[in-house]
Order: sequence, then C-alpha cells, then structure tokens
Amino acid sequence: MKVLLTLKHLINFFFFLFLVLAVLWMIPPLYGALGHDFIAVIKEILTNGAGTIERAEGAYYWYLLIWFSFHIIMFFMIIYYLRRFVLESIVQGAFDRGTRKYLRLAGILFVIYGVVRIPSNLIAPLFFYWSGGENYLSFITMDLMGFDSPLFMTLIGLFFIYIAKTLELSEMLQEENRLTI
Amino acid sequence: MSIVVNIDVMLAVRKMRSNELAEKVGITKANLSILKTGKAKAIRFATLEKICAALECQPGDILEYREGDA
Repeated sequence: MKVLLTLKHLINFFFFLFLVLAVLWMIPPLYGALGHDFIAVIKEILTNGAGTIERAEGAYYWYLLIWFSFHIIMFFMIIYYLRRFVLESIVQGAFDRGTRKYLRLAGILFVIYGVVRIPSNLIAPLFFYWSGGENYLSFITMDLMGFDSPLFMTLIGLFFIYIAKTLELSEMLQEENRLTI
Repeated sequence: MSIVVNIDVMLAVRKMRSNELAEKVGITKANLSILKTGKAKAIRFATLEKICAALECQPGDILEYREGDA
C-alpha cells in the first residue's frame, strides 16, 4: 500500500505526540502528590514553590525534559495554526491597511518586551540565589518557558511582524494583478 | 516607465474608437484606459495577441522602448 506523507499526516502525528506528552506531563506531579499526604504536598508547594516535589522524587530531569518538549511543541503548534488562520483571512480579504500597521506595532512592542525581559530573567535568579533562595534553577526554567514568558512573547512578536510583511506583500501582488491587463 | 504604449497612435491610424477596440479585445474600457495611460504593470500575451489581431499590427507597433523615461 502506497503511503503518502502529507502535511496533514505530519500535523496528526504532532497532535498525537502532543496528547502523549500532555499525559506524561501530568505524571510526575501526580506521582509526587500521591506518594505524600496531599495537604502536606500543597503546603510544601505553597511554602517552597513548585519543583520541590519532583526533585524529591528523583524525577526532576525527566519532568523538565517533558515539560520543555511540551511547551516547545505547543509554541510551534499555536503559531502554525495562527499562521494558517491568518493566511486564510488574508485570502478572504479580512485585513485592511490599518490592521497591518497595528500588527506591526504590536509585533515590535512584543519583541522589545521579550528582548528586554530575557536578559533580566537570566540575571534575576542570580540575585535570588545570592539572597538565599533555593529554587533558582526552577525559577529560570519556569520563567522562560511559560506562555506569558519573554520567549513566547518574542516568538509572537516576530510572528506578528511576519504577518504584517505578508499582508504588505499580498497587497502589492493584488495591486500588480489588478494592473495586469 | 521606459516602455511606452502606442495604442492611441494605432487607433488613429486604423480610425478605430477605443470602445470598439475594447469590445473586440474583450476587455473593459477602464482596463483599456489603464493600458493607454501607461499605468499598467504588465500585459498578458493573450491580450497583446487580441489587440494585434484587432488593429492588424505587430506588437512592436504598439509597444516602444524609450531610454531614460522613468
């Protein structure tokens, strides 16, 4: 049987991978929580922060690996589907010149925000460590990989600028097409 | 643009009106006007072929390259 690997198959594969990772992602915290007195675990998290349980159970690195993979795949999936949605909207003629300007402005602001926050987030844990904190490593990873993180914000900013440029190109091509007799 | 469209000249030579040419070629009057005023970005071979057939001329009679015109 001839099997054609299309983009659709690739997307389905990533969906499946995402589902598996989403389930795996929940195992270490659940395992940690089930192995302890639940109230004590909550208290410990509230007192010392997330990441303590995983380290205590020796699953910290496994947890981090899955956690990173999950977020990276989610980042790219969100941007991929947003891109498809926006490109489809361009075809339907949903954007005008004003939207393009706002998209570019929002993109630039997001990128500035991300670029300024990335070094500050890398420096901040050092102060946190010097001041006697213990969870400085988990602080770094948590802060860089969240959906409100500078990394994601920078990606979204670059994506907005890319969409603004695509809109500009599409407008130019439409104009050229209109003036082709 | 350095390419000049001389449809007006050929229309005068053939004593044909713009409306008649537009009808024969199958394009709108607005598009023919864009072509005549030099606002067009490009011309399809199919359109050029029809214009040449309607005006009984060669593409060189309609299009001219003038150096320095921008």
